[in-house]
Amino acid sequence: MPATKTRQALKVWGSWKGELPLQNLYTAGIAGNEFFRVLKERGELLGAFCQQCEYGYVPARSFCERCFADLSGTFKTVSSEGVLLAWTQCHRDRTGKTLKKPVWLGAVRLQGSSSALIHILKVPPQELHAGRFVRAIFKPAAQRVGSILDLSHFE
Amino acid sequence: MTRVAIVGLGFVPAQRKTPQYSYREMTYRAARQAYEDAGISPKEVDCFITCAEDLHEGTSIFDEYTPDQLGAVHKPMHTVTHDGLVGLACAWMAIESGAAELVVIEAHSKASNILTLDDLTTYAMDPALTRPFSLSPHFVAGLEMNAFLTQSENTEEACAAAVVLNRLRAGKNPAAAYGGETTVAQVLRSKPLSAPLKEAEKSPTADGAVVAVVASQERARRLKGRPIWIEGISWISDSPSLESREWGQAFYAQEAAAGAFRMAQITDPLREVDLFEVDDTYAYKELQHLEAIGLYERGKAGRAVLDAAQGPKDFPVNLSGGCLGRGDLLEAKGLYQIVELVLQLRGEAGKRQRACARRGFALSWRGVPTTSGAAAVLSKN
Ligand SMILES: [Zn+2]
Repeated sequence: MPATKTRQALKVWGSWKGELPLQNLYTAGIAGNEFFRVLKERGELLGAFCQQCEYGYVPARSFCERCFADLSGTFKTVSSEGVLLAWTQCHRDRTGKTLKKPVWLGAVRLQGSSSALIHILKVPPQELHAGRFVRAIFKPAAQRVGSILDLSHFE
Repeated sequence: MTRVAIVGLGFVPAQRKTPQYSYREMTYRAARQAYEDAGISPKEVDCFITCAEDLHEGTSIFDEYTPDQLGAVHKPMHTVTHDGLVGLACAWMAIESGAAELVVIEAHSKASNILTLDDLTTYAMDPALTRPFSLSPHFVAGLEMNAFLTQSENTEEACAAAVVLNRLRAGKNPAAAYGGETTVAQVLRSKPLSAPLKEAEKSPTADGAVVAVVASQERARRLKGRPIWIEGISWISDSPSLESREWGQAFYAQEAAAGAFRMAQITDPLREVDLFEVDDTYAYKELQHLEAIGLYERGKAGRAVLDAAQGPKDFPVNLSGGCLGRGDLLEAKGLYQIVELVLQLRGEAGKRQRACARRGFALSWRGVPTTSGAAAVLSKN
């Protein structure tokens, strides 16, 4: 059980302030490793394909959530171009603090895939509409570390 | 199959803050009230269920902290990490299986004690694909609202009208924390959270506790209270992944509602059900859920909400004020919907009593980033 740090004395109604200092490792797994390796080394997006469902997952996965098939032999890269399904302009950071500069996010269906990749969007607001063509912009190879942020944004 | 009924109910009115009570004391108050309502002692109860989530409680292995405030020490007890309506389903299953005759369920919220709720919700996101953006988890609602409005052609004004209507109705509900008057223009002018979603369209959190006593038909017959029957109950999750869910459509709501209606043998909910409590954690969710459960055709819920907000109209949806008016009570959201249905079906809803309420429906949703929903049909007869 993680330790709870008690660091403040009673206030008027009596309460203590504590925190849970948690740290974890998250294993990428076979499909995740391949996706991030391809992203880092080649600047490309790897998907997995279920023939039975005619469904393409990006990022690649080891199994199909719809029919439960093993997808480990089906990995292949998809186009870095696709269409915009939905978008939002986020005004807060993860802690709820107002961002100095709001960030646009989009849900993008890449050509050859069926799922939606959520990522930062840099499209002029007046051009936003469902079905708009967008393309993935990757960071230069030297700056890629094997993170989802190796994909810089969609534009 | 036996019939299963809610035979006792206790709750603490939703409040913005409760610095005077611990969660244990709030739950204890609700439990005392529920046992008195049912005319039972906790010693007679076969099994107890709490609906709670460790990180909301700030305590790991929180299920060890649940028995005493319910009188459940030395009794079978378990925790369900889910909304309270799923707890109700667990109680129903325990009774249907014959393992229990009398079950108690509890859910509470001490949201005012959570100092970093947005950050905590971010930890519910995928660590490799979504957390690295370091953005507010409400972006999931902003993105979905955009998809829903685009696909259904409902308007931002109609979403804002849900806030106006539900806060107004909450003014008549002593158990609601955020009753009051506001206008569509004020809601639309409120700060953007994750556009098109605005600050005023997100339910503010509240504290509270609900305890319900559930019994088999046989056991209910021997109790003093007026039973409210569970005619249908169903719960379901869509894909947990942001990538492969259906953006814009609340598939979980459609399927959970269909399951509950099927079980209750309801084919025309609008005619056969007298009141509806549907999740409105965000204003657009009320419209989306009303269309998903089949009450309105796609794109038509907005007009109904706008009309209802403009004047007296027969619109028996969220008479309690919903989450927007009552407050977001975390895993207790669904049980507060049950509170409203039971009070209405018993004829104890005071100023907001709906005439001839015989049958009610509830749909809960667990909030971002989930696609988990539960539905129940309750009946007076
Ligand atoms: Zn499949």
